[in-house]
Amino acid sequence: MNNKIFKFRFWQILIVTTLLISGCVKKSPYEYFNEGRFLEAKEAYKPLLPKDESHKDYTLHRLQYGSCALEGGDYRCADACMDQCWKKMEKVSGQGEASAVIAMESLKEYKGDPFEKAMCNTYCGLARLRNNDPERALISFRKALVDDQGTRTKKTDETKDFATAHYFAGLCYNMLNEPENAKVELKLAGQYSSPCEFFQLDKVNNSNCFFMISSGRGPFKSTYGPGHSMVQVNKVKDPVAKIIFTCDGREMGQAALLDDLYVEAHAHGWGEMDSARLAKGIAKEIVASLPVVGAAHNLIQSAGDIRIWNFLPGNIYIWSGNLDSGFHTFAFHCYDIKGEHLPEYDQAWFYMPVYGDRTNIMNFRLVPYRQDIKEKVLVPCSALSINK
Amino acid sequence: MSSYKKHSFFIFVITSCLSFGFGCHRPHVPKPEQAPTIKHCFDSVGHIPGSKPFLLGGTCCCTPSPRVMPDWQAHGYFVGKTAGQVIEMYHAKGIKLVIDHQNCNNACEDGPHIVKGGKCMVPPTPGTENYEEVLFGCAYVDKKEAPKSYKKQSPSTDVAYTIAPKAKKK
Repeated sequence: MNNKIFKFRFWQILIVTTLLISGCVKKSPYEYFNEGRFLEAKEAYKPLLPKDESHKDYTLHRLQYGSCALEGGDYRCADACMDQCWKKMEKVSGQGEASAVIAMESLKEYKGDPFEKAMCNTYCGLARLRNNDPERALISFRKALVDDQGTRTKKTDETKDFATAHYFAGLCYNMLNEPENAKVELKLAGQYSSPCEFFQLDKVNNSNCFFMISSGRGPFKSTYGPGHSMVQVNKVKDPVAKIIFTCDGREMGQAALLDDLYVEAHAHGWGEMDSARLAKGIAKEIVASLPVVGAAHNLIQSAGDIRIWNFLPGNIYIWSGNLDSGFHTFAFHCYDIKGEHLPEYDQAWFYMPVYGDRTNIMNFRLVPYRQDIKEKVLVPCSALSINK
Repeated sequence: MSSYKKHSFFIFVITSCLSFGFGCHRPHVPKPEQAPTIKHCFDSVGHIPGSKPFLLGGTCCCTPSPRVMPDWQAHGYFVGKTAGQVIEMYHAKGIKLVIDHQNCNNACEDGPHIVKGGKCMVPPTPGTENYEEVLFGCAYVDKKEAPKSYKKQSPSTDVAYTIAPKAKKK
């Protein structure tokens, strides 16, 4: 009898593992995203989106769906998605933190941390910039700066250090012929990132191309302490430390690091909600240690909320410069901290249009093996199956 | 078999499968940095003179406009029609143009792009896989996911989006 069960389990495990390894199981949006197949990730995400707006993770899923749209170049969808998400997060934030004392954190509606709200508005602004709408983009970047001020910290610098929003707000001001405001925002961007020529107004005026290059994975959360009541933000190490941009094979310089999202996420300090949760955690541990009523500790829900916007990048870089109008081959070459080449992160893009009569703003996401052609075949577009 | 041995065997199977799947260093073959020739033209890359409109079975995905109409008509396409009438013809086939919506990268409800069998003819977003696939008329697809008849079309490592020349048999 035991041998029969053993054989059955063996075959069960073998079949499941083989299916997983051979890729027969349909990929999740996360897998598509991590391969750099953003539009496929978006399609795969569509059926998973909660339809009910009151669903606790409605906003979180919409944010991740919006990320797929933005990275995949669907700016129309990204704009609408991010705008809706920010409004939802604002609404939930306005309801206060009192419910944390009673309810379980992960059962509450997702409202996002200040850095997530700031990124939501930054993506919204970027989508609008790519839709050639600097006026509406500026509104989003300014909202992102306000969101950053929601960071709970005693250090005033940390409430206005979101260099990405400062930089793009500066660009928008410049596009709207407000050089004084542009200068102020660019100066702040330089102050809170790495001081370099990209943050000088003259450089911006002499440039027609502006790239936002995102790299790595965003921070993640974990719990610790009594009753898992404390939440800490963790960094995902990104091997890319240096990005060199080449245009038609000509080296055009190094991209500058604008923001490390771990730093932004980590700056969010201690609040009333955290104190309430810690008190619940301590109470839970005390109850658990009591001999007669020990089982009652399960009634106290003290675990912290570790939900986080998963598709965010770790680092944000920028490059700007003046390129001849026409079509070019753009390439990004990546290197680690020791200067070793990381070819699996490199990207090349053909027939990139540079328009002489407007500001060219583009965004790129570095994902390892995104442009790997090993184990791939060429299929004519007409033979592709519609991913619907 | 003792319970200890059974457990050890299961752990061995699982760990060996996992290390086989994830532990090996993955070799990398990058997409070549040399671009091929354009197959489909559309608004953002400009009209290729003489190319036949997609509606008539050609490779031109430009939006009908007074700018492209003279070239189409000089080559015998849509003779005697105005740009507005040609737009109506596209709409009658359910094809959405850049005048209907923009910046969707063909991931909208009408997508994918018409060259991929969809109903969207909005120019794709530069710097994305979709842009290059529409431009060059083919896509890099995982061998496992490719249709059966294309499983042997290995890509060239010299020119992007082209098939590697077959090795000559002696």
